[in-house]
Amino acid sequence: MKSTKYLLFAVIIFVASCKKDDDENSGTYSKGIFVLNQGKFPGGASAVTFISESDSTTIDAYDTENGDVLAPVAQGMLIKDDNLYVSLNGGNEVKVVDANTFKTKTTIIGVNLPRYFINNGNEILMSQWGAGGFDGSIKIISSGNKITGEIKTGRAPEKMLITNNKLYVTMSDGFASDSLLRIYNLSTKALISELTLSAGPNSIVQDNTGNIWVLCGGIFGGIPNARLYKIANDKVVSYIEFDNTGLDNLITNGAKNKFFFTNGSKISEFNPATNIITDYTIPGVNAFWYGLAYSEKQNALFASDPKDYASQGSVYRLDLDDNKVKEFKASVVPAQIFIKE
Amino acid sequence: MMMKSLRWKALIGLCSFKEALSTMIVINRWLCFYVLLTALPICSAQTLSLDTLYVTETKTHDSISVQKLADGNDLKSTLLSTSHVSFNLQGVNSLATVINRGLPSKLFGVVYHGLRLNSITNGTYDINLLPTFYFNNMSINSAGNLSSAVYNSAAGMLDLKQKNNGNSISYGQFYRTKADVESNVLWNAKNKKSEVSIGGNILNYNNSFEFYRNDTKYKSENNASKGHNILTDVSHQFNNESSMAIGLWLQDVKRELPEIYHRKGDQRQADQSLRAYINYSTVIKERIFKINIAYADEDLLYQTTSIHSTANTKSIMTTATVKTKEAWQLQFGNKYDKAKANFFLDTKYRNDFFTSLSKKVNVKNVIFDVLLIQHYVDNKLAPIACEVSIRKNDLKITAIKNYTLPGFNDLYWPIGGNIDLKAEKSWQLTADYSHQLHKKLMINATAYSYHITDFIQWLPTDKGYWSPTNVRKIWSRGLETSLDFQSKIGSYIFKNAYLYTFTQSTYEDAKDQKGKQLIYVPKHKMSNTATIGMNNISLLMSTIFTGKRYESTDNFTSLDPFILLNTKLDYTFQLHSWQFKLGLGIENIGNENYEFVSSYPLPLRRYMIDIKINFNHKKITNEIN
Repeated sequence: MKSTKYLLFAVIIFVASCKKDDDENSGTYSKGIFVLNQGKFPGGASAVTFISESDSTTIDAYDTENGDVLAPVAQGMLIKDDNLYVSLNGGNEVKVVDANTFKTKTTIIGVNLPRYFINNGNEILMSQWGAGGFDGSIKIISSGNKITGEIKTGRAPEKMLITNNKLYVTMSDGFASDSLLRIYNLSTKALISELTLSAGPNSIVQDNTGNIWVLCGGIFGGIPNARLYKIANDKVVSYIEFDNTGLDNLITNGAKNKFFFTNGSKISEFNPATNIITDYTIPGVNAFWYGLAYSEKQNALFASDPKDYASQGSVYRLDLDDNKVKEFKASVVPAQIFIKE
Repeated sequence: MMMKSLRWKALIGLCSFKEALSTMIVINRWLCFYVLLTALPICSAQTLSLDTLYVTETKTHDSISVQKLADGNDLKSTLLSTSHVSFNLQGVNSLATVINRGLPSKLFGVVYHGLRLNSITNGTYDINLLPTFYFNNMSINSAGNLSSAVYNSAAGMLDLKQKNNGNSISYGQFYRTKADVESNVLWNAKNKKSEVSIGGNILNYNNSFEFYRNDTKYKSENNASKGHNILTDVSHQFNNESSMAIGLWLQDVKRELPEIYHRKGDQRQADQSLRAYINYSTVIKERIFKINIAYADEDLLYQTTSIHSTANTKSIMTTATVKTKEAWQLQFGNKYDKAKANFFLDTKYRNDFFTSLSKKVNVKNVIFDVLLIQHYVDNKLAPIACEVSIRKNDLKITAIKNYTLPGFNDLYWPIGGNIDLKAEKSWQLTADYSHQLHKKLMINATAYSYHITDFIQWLPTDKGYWSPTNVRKIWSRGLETSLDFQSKIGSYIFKNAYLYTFTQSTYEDAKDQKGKQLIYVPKHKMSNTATIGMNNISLLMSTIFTGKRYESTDNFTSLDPFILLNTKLDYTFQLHSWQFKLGLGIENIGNENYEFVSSYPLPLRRYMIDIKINFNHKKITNEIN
């Protein structure tokens, strides 16, 4: 009888623990596409649009789950463990929500014009422009969601890459003009070297052979035009010059043998092995693409169209297998897109 | 810039003697002009009978379309409670532009003696820069007044005027919660032939206040505004036929512009300006001749850690007008604009010659008024603008064809500027009805329909930058009504004014935005201003409702409606020749959380004290505005 009780107790514990695990992984927002909407400049509220695996859309997941609005200009996002971080450039804060339920957990303050995140083991690194977009740094956020340190960069750090215990930081325009790639030792957080590239380095990826590629957007309407730099052993190997400016959002597929970037009204695919560029356009859509993400699972590109930057924007899915296009309504000024699959 | 700053200091006596002496040479010409202005009428004091010879640019008409504004410290509060306008407003003393009759702010003009003060680079005017203590006789003309001076003002205009209230010196001190202080002095002198007004003020605003964000109360950081104004108007009548008026306005205002939620950022703006006018009118053989010259020289500095924008703009407008007793009016004029800015590749100019002809005819008590204007801008013939109005008794119908020239930023911005832009065109139809129902009750109603085509909008291009194009069409129509009641029972005076405004201002071009309300334009606005006066006390209560305003062009996102309650108690007493007036006010009594532009919440309840001391004020009056 006693052993039966123990067995029953053990079964209950087992079932209960299984149930708990299911709950943790099956939140509404556990898998899908997240679109950060910056809101109407200067003070419009941000929103996070969520597109589920079944293509149902929640225009503002944060408002839906919290009955509240985010501060303006949502810029970057990162999911780490159960936390989803959103940097709010206009609000000078980082909102931390539950990655599965989108319920607010905490708000990190003490940041200034926050931009993008990168995961670094137990900590998160976040670029920020600092006061006036001129006093930038990389903030170090601990697993307890506290700011525990800072790497001073100056100017306006943007997207980052970590490889070989080094942190590569694109130093973009900010409110002025810059052309640097700074390289830091991740252990000591000390500057190792810097490369002078072309104007407006804005995004960075690594290919499957270990080369690093940096996209420089150029100066709007002026010289120089955009360039895509290839870097090996922390030295510039070569670059491709484009005949226009405004190129942005360099991303890679999982195998790191295909890159994509936004190129005005086109989305370009780049093969780093052959340097061949293939352009995609969506018929009937006259968009100036603002954000881009690649879904490995769907073999599809997701690109955001902010339209006139003052009305409800859209996100388009371009299926690379059959070229099918689907439009999803987002909020005002949809920008960066993140995929959790 | 440095020289101008010293010139300012010398004028107000804030710099050292050595500094002042060294700048005297530079300011000499201005001082001479200034002394001449003030001394001229004092030297000759005889009879006075002005006005009849003055050919005013503004057509006066007792209706909503032309509305005189009450005197007050805070122009925004006055406009909000007593007129039909709304605002684009980012903070208390930050940038504030007017939205009238559902049209964008750049189409609303602010006019100083015939000269449109709106920026020649971006087209707007920031009304927070106006020294309201001095301009005590302002009016709003909403009907798209088409005098040649303001041909760019399809949304109407605010006409800055000063009224000389007789021989007096007044000192005013205005305090608001969190140490916002304004001090002003105004001297008026008047005799039978001449009038002089000289005024000056010093502003020192911290702009610190409490506001709500997501139901949590915050205190804004200080975003200071400091500055001063010196103004003068002098008029003199030489004889029964000839008169002359001259004026000068010097301004220096420096502001810290807040970030969203009024955080202290690194944006700073300095506005320094000199404006002047001179006009002379005379009657020769029953024809009135008038020459008016108005001049503005403005320095604008906008600065952040990484941006340093400077612009100097100069405008001079000269008009010569002749008016006959048969009500013909012919005008020739020139307006010359020059902009030198570090964000333009070189100095930019605009040279505008214009001529207008108008005729007023009275046929069996029906008054017809026709006005035609032809501009010749930079050696190109502009479209003809015209205005036709018909008035019979209480009803006036006005039709206007007007246009707005592109701003210099639209034309010449180094990246994206489009020199091929066309003028924005407007077609406006207004019906004003004004009727005195009873000696205590007045009703006004205005219906209007305004079409704007080729409206300029900056759009992203496939080259990676934005560029302006003539793409938008706007249709604004609406109804404005007001009811004014005034009564006296014993020693009590009651005054009550109700306003209701319906505005539907929609885009008529892009397929997905067709029929959508323009951003920040409320469809509904209501207000009530009630005043009770008894002997030397008056109490004012105002209630203002502003309806939902959209902040996205497709009406996807919006700002909540709000109701504001304000009150002010004035106590006036007289001691010999001195009149003292003490005002106590409470703004936003109900602690309403409200915004005109999202993420710039405006103050919760605030208190203010207003002290005025008038010397040589002859009797106590119930000053109910």
